[in-house]
Amino acid sequence: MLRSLLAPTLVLCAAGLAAALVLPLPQPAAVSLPATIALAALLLMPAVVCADFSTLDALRQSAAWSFLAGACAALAVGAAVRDGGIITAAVATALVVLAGAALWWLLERNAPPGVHWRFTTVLFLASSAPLWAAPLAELHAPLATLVACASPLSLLGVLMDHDYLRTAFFYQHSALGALSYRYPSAGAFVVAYAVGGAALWTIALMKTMGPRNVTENR
Amino acid sequence: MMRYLARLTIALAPVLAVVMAWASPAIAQSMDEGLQSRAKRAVDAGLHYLRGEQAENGSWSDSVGITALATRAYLQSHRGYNESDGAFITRPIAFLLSHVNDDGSISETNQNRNYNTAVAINALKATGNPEYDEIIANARQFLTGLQIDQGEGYEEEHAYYGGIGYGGDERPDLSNQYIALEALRDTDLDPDDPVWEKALQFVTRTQNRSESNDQSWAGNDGGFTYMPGFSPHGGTGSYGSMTHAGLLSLLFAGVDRDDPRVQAAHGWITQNYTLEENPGAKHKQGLFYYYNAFAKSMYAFGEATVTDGEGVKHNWREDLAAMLLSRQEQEGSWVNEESPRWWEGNRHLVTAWSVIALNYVVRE
Repeated sequence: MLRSLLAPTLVLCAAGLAAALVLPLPQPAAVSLPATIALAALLLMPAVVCADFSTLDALRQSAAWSFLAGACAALAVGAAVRDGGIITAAVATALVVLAGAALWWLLERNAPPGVHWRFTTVLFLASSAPLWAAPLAELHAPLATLVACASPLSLLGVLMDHDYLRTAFFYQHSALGALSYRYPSAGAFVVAYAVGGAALWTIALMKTMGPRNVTENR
Repeated sequence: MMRYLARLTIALAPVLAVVMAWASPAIAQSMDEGLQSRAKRAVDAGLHYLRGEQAENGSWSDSVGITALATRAYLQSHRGYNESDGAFITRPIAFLLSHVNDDGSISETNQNRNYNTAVAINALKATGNPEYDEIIANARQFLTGLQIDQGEGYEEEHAYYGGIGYGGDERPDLSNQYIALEALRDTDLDPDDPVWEKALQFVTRTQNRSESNDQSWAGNDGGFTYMPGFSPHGGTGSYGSMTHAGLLSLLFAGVDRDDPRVQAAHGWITQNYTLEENPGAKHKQGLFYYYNAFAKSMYAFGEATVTDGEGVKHNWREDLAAMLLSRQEQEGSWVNEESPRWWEGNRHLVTAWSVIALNYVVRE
């Protein structure tokens, strides 16, 4: 049932990626590619950290689906930046949610028990850092930028050119919006996520290759 | 004939003295001369500190907003600095001009575009140089474009209507509003421009005065809060910095001093008169923002003294000068050691704010 629901979504993701590569994107063209890479890495990292990849096939499959999910999110964000309309934003949000669901489905196939909760918890804690870590930033002002960077929402904010920390909700529930912080550039985010993703990939590959090699030698 | 005139002059002298004292701000708003001299020396020390901190590109903290405020502090000081005084004035102006964007905003970042553009207008206008008129006009258009109205899908009934926010979202607040209105006032925007009337609607909706504020949360102490229905210090309570910002906003928008909204705001200020803290705020938060807004609003209101809730009369100039002198560091700077909120951990910003406040104190 779940697969039958998600399969069309994944096809849409692939179509979206193809469209992103073929169609000229006016304003956000400069950020669509790095956004794709960054979001793919972002979505992939928890999977690499939490999932138990026992075979190279599973690893490849994970990478492919995560890339598609990231591409889908990037395309959605790009569209929202371009048009800025409520409908576009709603579609963008829906696509991102569906991309997340696709990742969830992937984890369901490969992950050991409990991985979903760990994945969700890590993502939730990182996203809500501006709320729970703001008191620390108020004690040590230079931490403000670090806290802002910790949240994946900041990446989306940068890509959409939206100072979300000063929207009504965040301003009313976090002191961070009243502190001096600067969002890093989209490029810096991409580099950070790419480096983090590469490091985690290396660890995952080493874990996967190690036991297999030992078996083959026997 | 001459003798008659001399006698008449002598006879009318007391009357003339009273009339002059009433009519001349220089006399009516006097302060202790010794304290005034010390305040001027404090301004000099603050400006000396800023000059030592200026970056190679002419900026302070690599920020358009802080650079504009520091430049304004120089240009409006008792020294009467202007662009002919040298690179320490021309370089920050050049830095501001290098951040003029196609949409008219003057900002190095998409954050704080309203604040940055507004204070840049103040600084460029303070030069008195007509070469910047076109840039100022474009910046003014950018600011008025930020105002929330039907163009953004908000009708008059909405609490946000007429407000101006940071410029990166659609959430307005009184702080951004007052800074923007100060800049628009500096640009001599037509008093009949609808921007003012719309702005007044938002300002009125941040005042705790239920007779004029149609919001259900509105109290009745006459003070102002941060935005409709929210204060960062809890609930919807009035506090000092926003009440001075609200009073200034009303005056900038052309509201008469006798208007009940102005009188209510002034009433809150007198009832809560203190410079020890930002009254109504937590933990000395926003203290120097308060001093800055206090100086500007008291100057604009035009009374030399304030009678507090206990009937004690205060010379606000002397009180503010004494407080800022006591808080100035040896090197000439100021900083809020107790709270970094609203950037008050930044010495460049807080020093610029303090010097501007003292400029109003010693101005005649």
